[in-house]
Amino acid sequence: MESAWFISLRDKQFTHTSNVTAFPWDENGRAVVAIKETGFPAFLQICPQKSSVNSPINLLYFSIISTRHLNFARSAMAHNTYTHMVKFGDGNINSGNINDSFNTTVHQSNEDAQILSWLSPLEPGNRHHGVRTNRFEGVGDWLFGTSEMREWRGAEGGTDKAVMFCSGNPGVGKTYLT
Amino acid sequence: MARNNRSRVIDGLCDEASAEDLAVAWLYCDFLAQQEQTITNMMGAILKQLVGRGDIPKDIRGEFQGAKKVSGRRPLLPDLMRMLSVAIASLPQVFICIDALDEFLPQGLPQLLESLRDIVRESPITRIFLTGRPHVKEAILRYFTMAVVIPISPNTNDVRSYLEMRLGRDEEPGAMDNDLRADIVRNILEKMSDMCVRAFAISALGLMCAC
Repeated sequence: MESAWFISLRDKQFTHTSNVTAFPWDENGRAVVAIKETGFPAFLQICPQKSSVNSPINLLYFSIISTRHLNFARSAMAHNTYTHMVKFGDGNINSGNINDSFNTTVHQSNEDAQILSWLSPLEPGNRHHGVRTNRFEGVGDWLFGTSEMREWRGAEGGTDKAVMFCSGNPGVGKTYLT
Repeated sequence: MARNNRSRVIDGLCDEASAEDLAVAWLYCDFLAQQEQTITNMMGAILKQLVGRGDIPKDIRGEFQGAKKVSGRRPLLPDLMRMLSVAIASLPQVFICIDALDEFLPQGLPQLLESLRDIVRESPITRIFLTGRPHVKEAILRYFTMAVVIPISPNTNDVRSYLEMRLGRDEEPGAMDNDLRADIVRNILEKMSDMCVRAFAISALGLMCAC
């Protein structure tokens, strides 16, 4: 369906007709759009509460911006008052979305997504989100204060000191340190 | 103690990464996923995290397009190691975190460690953070004789803080007094064993998820 899209980032409005590609995301209507005609690809996520996607003129509010275009992302986020939403999970690979290590949503071109999935079918980022969500503040801070950590982190030891191994029995909290 | 959306080493490094352009890759080994967690898939997962944050390097794109012509053959371990070497060389510093090495297929562990050693030999500033049960220490030390080994045991301060936070949310505060509160904390800490901590952690997570 072709329709007009007004994309609001508070101080700027972009009008688009057909050059917005929207990928269905989840049951809440979240999606990632790629806008091609602004001169830069903007990888944003729709805030459904504020957007009226069913009206003839669609006003879309966005919350997430790709880290692949950091300067644009920073300036847009500075002018953007909308709720920061992050969606994790499987099932998005077919639409070409991945979650990167900064926990923002990055839209990959079709070939990029194919390449990443060709490299490995594993998606460790999803598991990491589960660990992050269940961890409590302060857990593991002691490790960062140890001289062993500083020495390992500093990389002065070269190959000899490249590995740090935290060993413990089941349930002592190793995963939450990772 | 506030709930926090962070996991310590990976996120600590990621925070620095955004400032210093470090690259962090992580893997979680899992008994239940041993079939798919092959050495090849593991190395591929490290590589995809390193290259997935920016433009995919030309050599990887070339290998992919080449493979596509030959009926989409997946990369083999030597292919991945070659691509990893190029990707790591293009980054200022790489951190690789692997959790629960003891859950990795035991027969594959030597080859996994050997591959990690190859990475470090090629790029000596690469740092590797591993966790696992004590019995995998020997295997690690065979490949990294100078590895820094840190034993992790239940941290009573972490448990105490958590208990106090939970007691503070008591639905019937009238039934609680300072003596009872102190008794509960003391008793749990005294009886705490490794396995008890595991049960505690699981129930704690369940409680928090229900909140």
